Amino acid sequence: MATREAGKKMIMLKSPDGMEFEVEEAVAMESQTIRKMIEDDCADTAILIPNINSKILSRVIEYCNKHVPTTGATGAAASDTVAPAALAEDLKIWDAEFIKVNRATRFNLIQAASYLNIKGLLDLTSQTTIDTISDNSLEEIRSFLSTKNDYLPEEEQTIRRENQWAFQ
Amino acid sequence: MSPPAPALLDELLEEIFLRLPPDEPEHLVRASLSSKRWLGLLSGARFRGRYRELHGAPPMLGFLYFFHSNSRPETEDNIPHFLPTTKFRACIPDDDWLGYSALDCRHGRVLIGEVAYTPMTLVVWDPMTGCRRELEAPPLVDNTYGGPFQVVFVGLDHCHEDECVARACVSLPVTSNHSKPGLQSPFDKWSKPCSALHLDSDLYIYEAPPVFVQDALHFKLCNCAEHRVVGILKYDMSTNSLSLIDMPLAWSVNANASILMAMEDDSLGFAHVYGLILNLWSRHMGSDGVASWTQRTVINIKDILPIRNPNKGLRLIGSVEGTDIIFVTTDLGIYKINLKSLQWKREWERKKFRAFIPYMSFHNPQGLRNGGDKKNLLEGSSAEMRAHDAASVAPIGQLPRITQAGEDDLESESYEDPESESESEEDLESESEED
Repeated sequence: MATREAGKKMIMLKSPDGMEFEVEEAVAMESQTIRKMIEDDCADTAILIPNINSKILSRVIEYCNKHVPTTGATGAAASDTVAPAALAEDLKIWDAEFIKVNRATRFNLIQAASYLNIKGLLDLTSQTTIDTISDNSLEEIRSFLSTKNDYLPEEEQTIRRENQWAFQ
Repeated sequence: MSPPAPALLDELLEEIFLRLPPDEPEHLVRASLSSKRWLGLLSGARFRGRYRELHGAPPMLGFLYFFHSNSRPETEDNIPHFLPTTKFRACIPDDDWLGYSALDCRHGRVLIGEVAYTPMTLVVWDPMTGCRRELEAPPLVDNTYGGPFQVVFVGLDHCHEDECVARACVSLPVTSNHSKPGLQSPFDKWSKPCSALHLDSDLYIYEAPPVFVQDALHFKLCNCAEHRVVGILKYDMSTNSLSLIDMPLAWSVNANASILMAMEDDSLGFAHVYGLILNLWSRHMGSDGVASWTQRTVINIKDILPIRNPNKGLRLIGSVEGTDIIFVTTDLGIYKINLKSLQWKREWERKKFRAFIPYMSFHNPQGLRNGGDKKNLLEGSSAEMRAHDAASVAPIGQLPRITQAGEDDLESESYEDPESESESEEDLESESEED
């Protein structure tokens, strides 16, 4: 990628477990939270990302690297060289692979995407979760949400009976 | 063995649930039954507001319909004719239905006229819960119901030989528990009727739901002799008054070739088809304070929809309020068309429906629910939460006076035999055919 050669401004991201990641500023700014820090000049040396461990942070950076627009800091519209549709298709395939993770990792990614305010990643992780919810029974949804069923059995029965269509 | 998943914060779960598709309401219902806490969150005002923001106008969950009287199946039973277009299923109590006809549908409630009985009984039915309430018709006509919702009754009185009189009144709102299935006892009082409006003697209100625009209900008025639309009867709820609106066309048109619309920009719309050409007008207030019709667009339907037999007329059978969407019957089926974007979708096979009444998902405006009751919350958390910027007064319906005669002929004449149209319209069509 011609627009992402050396000479770019780099940013240091630190996870709470002490790992440091050097990333291009443009990549880090995929996160609206980090973008704001940079724009407000609060990011001179390194940015500590609280609550996101190095394993998850490295995945997030991987995602941002892939999704950083090909229009680089030079301002050149590099997307002229690649058909946008093909690019989008490529990203979709990549996303599908990327999100093949276990539930814990996915939840951690949702939390990270939300904290770092990365819309694309939040959409991707949430949508995958939606697909899980859509395909599962009420009991599975409960366990998925780690929620405790506080309906009395008779209450639940009544509600199921009255909304039968939703449970068929 | 995967590590135990962290419990997601409510905000994040909310973020996820926001993405549940509106036209698959079963997922939200199920998620809200995972626990009472989730029921509360998903039926809460904040979630509903955000859901509306993200997904825009609520989708159609199904539709009600009634047939032309000459094409009604002989074996037709009395229960409401609700056909789902999603997984949603209406709760139809299996008792006590008399001769039934859907008159209107708003905010998830269906107004039904049980026509077999005189005086006609009006019933408001909630397909979400199966609850029904009856209204005893006002002295000038019949029965209806309110709850937090109001029923508007508009009827024509043909008591004099040389004129008829339009009358209207509104049910007094009653806040009551609308959540229990089954038939509630009759109740509700009617307000004092508004001043009568004197009209020509040979008119009747066309049997189709009215459209609600700027606090007023609008009905098509037809003449008995030819069954053609000659004007629009308007009942303004804010001023409690009836008035007559002229048609955008100088001549009368076949009732089933025209439809009133509550357009996206909150103006009254009037669509008319002749042959395959659709004309659309909308009514706006001019700078001089006088409302007038403006022609919006002319659409050749064969440019957008598949048509096998171009000689077969089209029928306009319904519209979605607050949008530019209409339902049209062609020789190949029933189609939904957005007259602005020209997007369309085939909704159903070809049937001789006189009216197609969309059952739209919706949400309850804040503060209407009398809280606490689980079922109430559930209602709010199911398909209803697909928001609708409902006004605090939610009028339901009308009661068109059932006309005596001859509507059977209308169908065959106007639909199958375009020759019977007036000269001027024929000219119009041949011109556009040459284009």
